[in-house]
Amino acid sequence: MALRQYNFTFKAMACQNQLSLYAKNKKVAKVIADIAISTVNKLEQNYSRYLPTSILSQINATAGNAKGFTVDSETAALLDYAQTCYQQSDGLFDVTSGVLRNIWNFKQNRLPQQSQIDETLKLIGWDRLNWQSPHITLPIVGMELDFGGIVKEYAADSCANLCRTQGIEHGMINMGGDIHVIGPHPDGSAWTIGIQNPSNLDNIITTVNLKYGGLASSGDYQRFIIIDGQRYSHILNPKTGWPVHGLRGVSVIAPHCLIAGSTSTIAMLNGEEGKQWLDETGLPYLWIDDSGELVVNAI
Amino acid sequence: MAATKSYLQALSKVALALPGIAIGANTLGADDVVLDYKHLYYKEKDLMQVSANYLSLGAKINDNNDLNLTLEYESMSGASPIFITPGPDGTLTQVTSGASITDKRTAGSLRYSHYLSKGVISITPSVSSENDYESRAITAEYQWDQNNKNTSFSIGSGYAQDTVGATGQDLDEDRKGVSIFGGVTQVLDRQSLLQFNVSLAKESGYLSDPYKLTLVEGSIIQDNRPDERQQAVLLTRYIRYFGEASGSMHLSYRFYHDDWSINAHTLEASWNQELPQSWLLTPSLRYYSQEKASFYEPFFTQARADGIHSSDYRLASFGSILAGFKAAKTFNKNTNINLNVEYYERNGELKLGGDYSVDPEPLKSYAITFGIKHTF
Repeated sequence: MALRQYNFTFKAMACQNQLSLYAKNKKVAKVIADIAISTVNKLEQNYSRYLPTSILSQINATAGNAKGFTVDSETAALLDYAQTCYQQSDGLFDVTSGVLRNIWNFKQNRLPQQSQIDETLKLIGWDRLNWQSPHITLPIVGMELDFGGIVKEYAADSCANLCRTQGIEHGMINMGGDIHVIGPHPDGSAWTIGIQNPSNLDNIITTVNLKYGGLASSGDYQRFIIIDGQRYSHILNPKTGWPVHGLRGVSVIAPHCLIAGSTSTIAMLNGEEGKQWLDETGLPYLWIDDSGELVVNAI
Repeated sequence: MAATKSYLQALSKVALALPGIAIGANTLGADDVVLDYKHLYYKEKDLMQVSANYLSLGAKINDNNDLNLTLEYESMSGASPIFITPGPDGTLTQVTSGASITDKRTAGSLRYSHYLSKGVISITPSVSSENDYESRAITAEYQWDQNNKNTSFSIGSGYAQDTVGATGQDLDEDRKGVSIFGGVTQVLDRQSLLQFNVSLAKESGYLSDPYKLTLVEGSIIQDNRPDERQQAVLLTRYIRYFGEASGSMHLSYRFYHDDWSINAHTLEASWNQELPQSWLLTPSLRYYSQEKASFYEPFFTQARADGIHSSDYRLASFGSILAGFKAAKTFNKNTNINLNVEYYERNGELKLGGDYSVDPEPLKSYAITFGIKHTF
């Protein structure tokens, strides 16, 4: 029986998401899509920093409390992953850096005071918290964890893998540019994915063909401010508290969207040096730098 | 700051601990090429020894088709039992061939599988060649799933056309075999499944063993069996996974019946224990019990009216046990090295419910198999 493509759009994690599946009929596709989407919703409920009941908010509520918080195995695995990213990036990828958002407002054309930045930096640093799986302690009042750059990518992987376990061999999940391809179209051809221009979202700078695995992008993507001709990206260095320079956008292909996502973020955080660093990861990538130059490698 | 290859390894390792990623880990890599090599050494106490090499290469042609090629080369040497004679004190004596038999077997098969939306069709032609035996066979099978892949079915059929010869004898005889088989596998719950298989087969032509003799009324004559044999096999298997122990239990029972009046029961149990660092240990135990063919006697004091006689102990009433232990380790998710050691003992006294044929020379053997499997 011929397989047909069914598309499901849903809102989750502040994005419009699309799940495309090939199945023999709509009923089968719908049943599987419902389960896959519910896993994404579950992850949002657990790890959204906007929901006071989420596991993440519960952990953050214990900041300053020496007793800390004991987490479940999935959260523990996410924290282990965050710790590994921190170690592998020499401290640039830091899930405690979200508090910088409180002083960097990209909707107003105003820079924070250096004194504000210095105060905020005291709340940042994975090495300041105590993670002894399954127990986490945030010793300073005001410290916060933020799984941005991890959870949406992990949700794309979970959603794709769940579809695979239900027998789906051809399909793709796109969560606002965080993509996991379950498998190629039934005729064996790859999915064609457009990469947006970080400076102009209506423009596609290039396309990527992917049959399996994850693709994620990190970049300015319109969240920046320009003051006195200087462009300030929303991607902030957790060590200095200031926006990074050098790269405007990075896309990476990896077996898992999660790894593609953290790799593209770490590359951005490395600024100009991110170009060399990406090369050394061995993963296929593309970047566009501040001068507008586009380099595509192994994609 | 430098990113090295260890960067990707470090991230992959922690990522695979995440449940949402771990569930898909086994389904990645659909373009796999699998190469599997095994070397077997088998030794019977005082009798034959066999050394065998087995190579299998599986490759996906595209999403809907794959091929699997297997090649086998076996060499055997040693003594083989020929006939049984009563000694002066009434005990049975096995007369063996001396260490004279040597033979080589070369075999190959090519399985072609075509995947449909709900099932898979496979066709496997095969050939096997020895100094004194040639075989050409073909098997076709269709497997399909239902009920959300919780139930799977298979049906199939096989045909074999063999030529029997014998070193040092002027023998050129034909043997044919046809078989049909079918099965159902039902997933019971997340931890267990149950399987039933049935197969029916019919062999015809020259079914005797040209190297066996039998003592009938004091004269040594050639082994002579009926020229037809109908066989039926029923197999049921239960597998249960114990998550807290990271192990699975496999239990199976097989019943065999043929119209030479052989009935046999096989009971097998094994435990697959997963250990850290991708080790898998599998101890197993198999018990077998058989009732003899109607025309088996260690020797015949009176010839049978139909002229059918055999003293091949494989057609006698006996029992056997096989104990095995397998250790396997997987490296980097794509290389598996395994070692399997088996000990086998056959003896009349091991038969269920007594009434056994005295074994003139109980057989003891061991087998060691070394295997390496790599997925590209």
